[in-house]
Amino acid sequence: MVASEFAAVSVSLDSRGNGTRLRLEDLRSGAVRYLDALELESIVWAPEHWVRELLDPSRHRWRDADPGPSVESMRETDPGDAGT
Amino acid sequence: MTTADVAPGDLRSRVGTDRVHGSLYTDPAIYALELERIWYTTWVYVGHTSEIPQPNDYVRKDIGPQQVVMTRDKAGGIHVLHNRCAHRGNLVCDAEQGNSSSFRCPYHGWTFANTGELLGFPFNQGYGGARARERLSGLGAAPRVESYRGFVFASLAAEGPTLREHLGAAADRIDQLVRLSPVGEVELTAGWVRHEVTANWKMLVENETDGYHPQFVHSSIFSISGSGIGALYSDKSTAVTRALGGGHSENDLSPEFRRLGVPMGWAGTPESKIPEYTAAMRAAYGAENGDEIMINGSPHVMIFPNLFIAEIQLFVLQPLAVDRTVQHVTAIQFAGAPDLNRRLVTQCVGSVGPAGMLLADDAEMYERNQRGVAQRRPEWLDLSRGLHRERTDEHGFTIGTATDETSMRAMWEHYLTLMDPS
Repeated sequence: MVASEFAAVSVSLDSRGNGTRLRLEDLRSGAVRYLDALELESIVWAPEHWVRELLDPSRHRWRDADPGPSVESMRETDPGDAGT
Repeated sequence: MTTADVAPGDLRSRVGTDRVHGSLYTDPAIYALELERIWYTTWVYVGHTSEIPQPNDYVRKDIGPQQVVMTRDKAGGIHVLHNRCAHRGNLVCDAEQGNSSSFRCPYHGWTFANTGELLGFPFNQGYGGARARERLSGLGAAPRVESYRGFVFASLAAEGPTLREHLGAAADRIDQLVRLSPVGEVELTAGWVRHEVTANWKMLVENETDGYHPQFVHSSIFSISGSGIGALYSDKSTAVTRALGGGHSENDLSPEFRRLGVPMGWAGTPESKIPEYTAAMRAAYGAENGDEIMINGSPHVMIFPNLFIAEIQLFVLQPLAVDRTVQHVTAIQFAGAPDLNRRLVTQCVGSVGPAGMLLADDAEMYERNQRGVAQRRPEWLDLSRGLHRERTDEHGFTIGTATDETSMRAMWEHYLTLMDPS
């Protein structure tokens, strides 16, 4: 877990697919995002202002249009639960 | 009461060469003026760079009653920020310390970089979009932040003397302290004890280099520990009380330590207990210089208004009200000296830990003093001890014997220059 007084995110590796990916879960809301190797590499190389812009709450979770948690978290299913 | 209650000239009539008026410790209007003219103007010690070693580290600190956050940004720059959201004034940081490039206010989610810059706020259409950032405020920042040998000071005034000018000769005492590390670095990483007393902050400042009280107030810890330090605070001692200028002062016991001539004799620690440290010091500075540094010892210096370095421990003073003061205390740790550091922590637990005897002794005196000074007669406190035998040393500093009140008189003289500059 990576946590501060501002946020708490669970970090784990997910290997249910054909390749390993990073699973990030916002423990305060339950929202989940997966990041694959190429997405992670892109983050490593992303310019600093890109990360700073992400920290603007209006860019994502608390935006005026299309609010709500990330789409992935709504779809997350365990393979064992498929079809239920 | 407001600061308007203190008329011009009032303060000068309450501070004499050999006495001060009791109201200086009890009058809320004077305290309010002190906050403005001393605590929010002059350089105040905030923290140490070793408390925020990594990029994006932060610690909560104080400048008197002001809560601040000392941060290290991603590029290494150090900032002292007011802990107050620019939106509705909520406290932004709650944890004592952490690592984060940004801070999000828990009230409405306004988010700030650890430089203080406003990064964004939820539902920004209510402000006309993201560009509102350009007109809205970030976190308040201390206009001047400087560090000396890792000791970070801030001034809430945009202009004034530089930190080096403020420190003056007290900088040499910080050098003296830092030299006791074989790699020339102090680390304040042992943790802090927060100890509050119901007393005016100036009683603490005055007491820190008052060499008249130790034989009375601290006789029990001296007798239990078998320390020879108590005897050094006597008129027979060659130790001196020295006014360093700028309100700073010290008890310089080093003449006695040099007479003793034993490396680490000042700490009461035989060399056999810390062989790695003494070897590292001689390797770093050479045998002769290393021994001289270890013989000379650590400073006992009060850096006005709030940093007290007491040989092996460090105190940061924080006034909260005219009769409330917090002492934040830690054991000094020297980089490259693990065996010495372990002993210093143990010694500090005994002296200034939660049940430490030294701190408890002084706290009792502070609180009795605050209650006593509120009594009506006589109105004045005496400051005359040693006035007739003060002299100037070879460096031009005013000195008295180990038990003289030279340091207090100099503190009050400086106090007037800040409080009543006319």
